[in-house]
Amino acid sequence: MEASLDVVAWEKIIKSSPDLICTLDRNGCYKNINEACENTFGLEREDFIGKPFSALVHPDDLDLTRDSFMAVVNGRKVNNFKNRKISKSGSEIYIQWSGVYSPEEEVMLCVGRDITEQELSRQRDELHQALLEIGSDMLALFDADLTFKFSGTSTIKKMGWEPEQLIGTNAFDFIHPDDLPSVKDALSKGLPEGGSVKISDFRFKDAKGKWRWLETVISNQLVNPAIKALVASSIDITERVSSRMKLQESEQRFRSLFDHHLDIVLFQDVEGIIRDVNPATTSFFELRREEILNRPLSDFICSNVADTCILNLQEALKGEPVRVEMEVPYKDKGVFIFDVSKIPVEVDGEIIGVYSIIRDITEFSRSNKIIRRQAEKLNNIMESITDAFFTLDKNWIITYANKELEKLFATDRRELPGKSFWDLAEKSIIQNLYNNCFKVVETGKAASFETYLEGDNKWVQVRAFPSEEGLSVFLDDITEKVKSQQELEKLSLVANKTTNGVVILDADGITEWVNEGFTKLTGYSFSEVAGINSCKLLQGEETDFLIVKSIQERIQRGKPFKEELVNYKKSGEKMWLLLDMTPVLNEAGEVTKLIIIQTDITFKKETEAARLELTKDLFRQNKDLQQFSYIVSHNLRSPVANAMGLIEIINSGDKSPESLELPLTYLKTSVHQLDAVLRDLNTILSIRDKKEPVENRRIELLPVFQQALEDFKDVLKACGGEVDIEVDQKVLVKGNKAYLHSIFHNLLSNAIKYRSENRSLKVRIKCISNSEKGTVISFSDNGSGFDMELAGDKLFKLYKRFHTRSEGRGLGLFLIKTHIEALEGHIEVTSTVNKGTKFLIYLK
Amino acid sequence: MKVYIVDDEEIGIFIISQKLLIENIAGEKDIFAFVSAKEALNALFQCGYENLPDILLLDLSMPEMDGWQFLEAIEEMEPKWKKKCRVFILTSSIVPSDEARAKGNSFVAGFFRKPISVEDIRTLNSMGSLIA
Repeated sequence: MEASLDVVAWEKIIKSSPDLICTLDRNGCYKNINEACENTFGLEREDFIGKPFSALVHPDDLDLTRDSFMAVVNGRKVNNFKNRKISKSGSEIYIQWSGVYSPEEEVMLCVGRDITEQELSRQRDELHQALLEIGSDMLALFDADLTFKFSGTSTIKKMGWEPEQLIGTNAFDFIHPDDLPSVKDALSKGLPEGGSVKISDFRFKDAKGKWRWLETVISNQLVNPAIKALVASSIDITERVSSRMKLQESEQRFRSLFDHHLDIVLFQDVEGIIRDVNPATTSFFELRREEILNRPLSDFICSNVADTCILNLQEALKGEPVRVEMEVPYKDKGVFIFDVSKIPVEVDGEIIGVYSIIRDITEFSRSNKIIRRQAEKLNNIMESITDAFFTLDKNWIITYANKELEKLFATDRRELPGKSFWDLAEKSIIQNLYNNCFKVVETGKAASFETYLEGDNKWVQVRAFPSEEGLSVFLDDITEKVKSQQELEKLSLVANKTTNGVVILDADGITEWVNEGFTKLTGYSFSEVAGINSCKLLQGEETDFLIVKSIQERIQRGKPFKEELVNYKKSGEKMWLLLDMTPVLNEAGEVTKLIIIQTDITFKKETEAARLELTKDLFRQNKDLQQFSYIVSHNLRSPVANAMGLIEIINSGDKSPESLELPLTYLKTSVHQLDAVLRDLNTILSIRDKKEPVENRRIELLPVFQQALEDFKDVLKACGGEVDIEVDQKVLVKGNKAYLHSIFHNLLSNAIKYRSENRSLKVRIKCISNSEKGTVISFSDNGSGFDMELAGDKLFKLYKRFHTRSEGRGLGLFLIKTHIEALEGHIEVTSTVNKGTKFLIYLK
Repeated sequence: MKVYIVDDEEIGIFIISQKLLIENIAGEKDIFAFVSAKEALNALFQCGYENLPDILLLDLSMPEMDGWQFLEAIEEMEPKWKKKCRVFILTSSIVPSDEARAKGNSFVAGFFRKPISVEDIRTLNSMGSLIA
């Protein structure tokens, strides 16, 4: 009984034991467990019995556990073996085991104790220790007034302070005076019991006396009985601060650069939205910063430029800076030329936007253009200078040579620059050139001289000008000029000796030269005509300007020609000149000079004029002679022939007085006719030859008419004719009384002679007009008239008759006309057969 | 022989008529005298072709219509008269150009200068007879 009592007691002990007690069979499967096992692992009894122990062991500990198990099975006693089991909830549970094997029962007896708490606490302690040893944070404990109670090993490494150097000292003594207020401030504010405060960015002196930047977290653990201190954990942030300060500095630098950049600088994000601008931008756009920010650049510039900007932006967003020059018209400010740089901004391998630096290079670009243009112009000028031209520097090295020089020296001009003037001179320029050029360099004054280049057989005019760089030299080939000058000198010798006038005009008609002959001929000296057109000077009133015009046209044709022209001497005396004109042409065929040789042909011209007058006279006389011969052949011959015929009849026929009566009467008539014709001739010739000048005296017309009327008083009475005179007594005409009488006598005579047989004659004499210009007298009758067509131009001709069976000899009208013309007047006639005739007499 | 005389001068007509009578070229009834060319022209048109004169003596210098104008008129109107009627110029003109001009005219059979000579009359006769 006692024994069973013991067993029961043991069972109770095992059952209620806080330690884990279990038995395992040889195979490691649970045979029996106590309650502590169930409780510890949170499992039921069934979860153990018959199950292998390995199922509950932490996999990492399995091998060790097996080894221990095998050792126990093999008879060794194992004490305090530790392994981890996994509870039902999955948490690790540390167990310390002791085991013994009972071979009789073939059972292993295991007693285990849950040591999880102790194990974890030990591990923590180890960790803390390790952290203290190897952690980077510096740990310290302070009492309430911040006196060091403990200092970690990190502090030795980081600051060089051994714990014993610090313990007992006050932390404030090590803090930078500048930072003390902020540290104290932070401490006073935020350290409630159990609370903590972070004090950042203060300087703490290290063992070498250098200031280190620290960041400290202080936890108030004064009331914590385990600690009873202020716990401080510090990290050295010196590097961070200094890099942050550097960053700040650089950012400030950047900002300052950005803000004070004279160019427009703006930042656009990847969408092209403006995120930042500098003051230069706002002032250019004349907008406030807020007005620009967060808007696309295209809002501020014209659309076509905006497109280009977008393309550039996209290009820059690919990661490479873009630099372009753009012409941007902006508002009414005109067109700007911008030098635009777009710089991509990359952060962590990603492009977040683009900075644009926009420089206004309008002025620069313009002046650049101007400079370029001027340079081109200068070059063109240099090239187009028709003179050969080269420049020398101070060392007599050729710096420039133009095309003409190439021609003149037959040298490739590309070879010239860089060569010494002396080398060139060896070829062709003689000492003269050296000397003069030296003078130019020495005196700084321009020089011009002519020189002969023996090698090239050329005359050149040299003009040398000093310049800043050295010397500019022009060489003008004047060989032709010199030659022609020499030629001209010879010519002028000849021209001076000739008696003809010689004039040389330039292309504009300005007198270049005249010879002595010119002065003798015209009376003008060279000085009087130099610089003016001497030809125009000589022209005057009677100069035929049509000829002058034709001369000017012919000069332009460039061929020599001759012309005669009236000119005037200085004295005003008129003279005829034969002008022998020779235009001198240049290579282009343009007239450059005009040589005029003047010959006085006044005498010849006068003779010609006299001859012309004589010819006219002769012509008139010849005509008179012809008419005279006509008169002789017809009117004089006619009565003579009749007389001859009659005499023959008288001689040959019946000589009885009766039969002779008629022929003798006819003979008498014929002889009278002959006499009349002879007297007519006398009258005519007397008018012609006398050529009495028309008297300036004014003659009253009315008495003239009355006198003529008196001549025919009886005849008119006999035929019953009437004459009506409507002429005022005051009418006066210039003339000769005898002529005027003859005119009206003949007109009246004609009127009576050719009166109509059917009606009585009526004559009307009327003054139609009487003025300064002259007097017109109308003389009309109602006579038989005549056929105007038949009469034609013969009406007023001598011995032209228009009436058969009348006594008219055809002299009357001829005489009338001759007399009127002698009085410088004229006569017109109109007539109608059987109606009458009307004469209009125009007198002065 | 029938003769027409065209002369504006009475004396001229008298002289040639007397000569023709003296030389027996024509009787007084055969001689027709006209002081105007126009009158002569009228007479020629009125007499008919058969009665045209054998000879026509024509003065050149006449008023109104002169000898030349007369010749032009008949040449233009009746060129066939040429066969029947011979025209002789009888003029006092001694200008050679008149004779040359007359000879160029196909109507003109002869050119005489006043006063008409016996030889001229004979020429007239022979020419007139030739036609007759």
